[in-house]
Amino acid sequence: MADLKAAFTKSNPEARLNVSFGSSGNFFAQIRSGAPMDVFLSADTDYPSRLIDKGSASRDSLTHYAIGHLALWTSNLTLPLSTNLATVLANASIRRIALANPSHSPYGRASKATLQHLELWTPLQQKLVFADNAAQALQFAQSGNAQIAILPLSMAQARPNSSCNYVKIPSHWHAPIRQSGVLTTQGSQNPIARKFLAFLVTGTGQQIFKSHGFSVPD
Amino acid sequence: MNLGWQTNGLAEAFGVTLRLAFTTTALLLVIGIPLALWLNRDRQGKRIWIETLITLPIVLPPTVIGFYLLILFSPHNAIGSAWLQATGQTLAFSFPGLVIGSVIYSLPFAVQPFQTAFRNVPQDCVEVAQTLGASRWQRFWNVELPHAKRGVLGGATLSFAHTMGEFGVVLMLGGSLPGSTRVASIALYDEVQQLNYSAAHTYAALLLLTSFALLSVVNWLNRRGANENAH
Repeated sequence: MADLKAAFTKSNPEARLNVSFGSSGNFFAQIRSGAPMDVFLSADTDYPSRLIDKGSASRDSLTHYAIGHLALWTSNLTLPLSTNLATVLANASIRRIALANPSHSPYGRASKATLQHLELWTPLQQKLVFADNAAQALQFAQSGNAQIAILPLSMAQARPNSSCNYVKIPSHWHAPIRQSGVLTTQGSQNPIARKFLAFLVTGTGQQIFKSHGFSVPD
Repeated sequence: MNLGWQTNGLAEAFGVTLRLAFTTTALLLVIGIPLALWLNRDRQGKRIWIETLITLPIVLPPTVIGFYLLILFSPHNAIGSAWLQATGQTLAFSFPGLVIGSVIYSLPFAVQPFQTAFRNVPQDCVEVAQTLGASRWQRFWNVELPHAKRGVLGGATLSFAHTMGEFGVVLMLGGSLPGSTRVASIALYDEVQQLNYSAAHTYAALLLLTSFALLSVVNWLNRRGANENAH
């Protein structure tokens, strides 16, 4: 996000961007209640679509800006991440596996689908802990309270260091994580907001997403 | 909408909340009363640091407590690894972990009313009992506690209510596990995030009513105490 902001303000020096990070569900409720936000970037397409259906965002602004991927992250360097991931997840030395809560997080839903694909969702149920969002899943694992976290690849990739290890989870193990953005009713009056959303799908914007662990929509 | 599932989730979440509030309050009575007596015996103000430390949770964001506890509970650290060795479970994401968090978080809401209650016990009664040869324990049990019981009950009710309303600490170290760490306030938050506003309304209304009822009890106890002191 910092790179996107920097690139955008470079070509639009007059723009002042204030970025709030949080869960899509919370922002949905806040925008519905008239929160002063112009652009809503979600980790899925469902929340923005529902905002449009409720009349709080403009339909023609719906923009698919990136496709997210998952990674398996651990601070336990002895776990052989290069081998079969099902074996890694079922390793007895893992007591807790952290993931974003599938009930409301798009990445959490994909994490659940991945475990279901590996037929580990039910057997590992006792080991799973549900973080409010992906950042908290990482925090659970970084603090050592969980031994493994299932995270957005972008998040795992953003903090490369020698005391942790991650591997990308094959994308066909879960439904594609299509990330979309919309202009809120307030934002559709703001030309800079419209420009920013359009910027995300320009060559420059898409290149930034690619270099941060996303793929770009066709 | 699956109403059966919703009712189950509701009962389960309130079950965890009540279990947490009862366990925390019981522990606060055991820890808080001796602590209040010990703090009251401090004449020169040497124990003011401890008193300040205990008061901190009133002003600290719960996220601060949750964050430090998450680090403390980590198997990389002494407390977390000792617990893991003893029980085979991590302290984070467990009910006992939440109990520790709640006791710290609600400590001032118990200790402060306890201190006031014991400070208001008429000293002459205690002295008479002492002259009659009552031991420290007898004086506490037969004189001080009966005099202070309303304040102690008020402190217990307040910390019970405060624990029911706990959110930030649990969010930081609970892991939202149904039946063990998914308390009502977290369940409400999860429902809001899923846009299940009708379920969220049920949780919110129940929490509001319980808190109102509990605080009414506290206020009623305070008034009765004040009236009795005035007479």
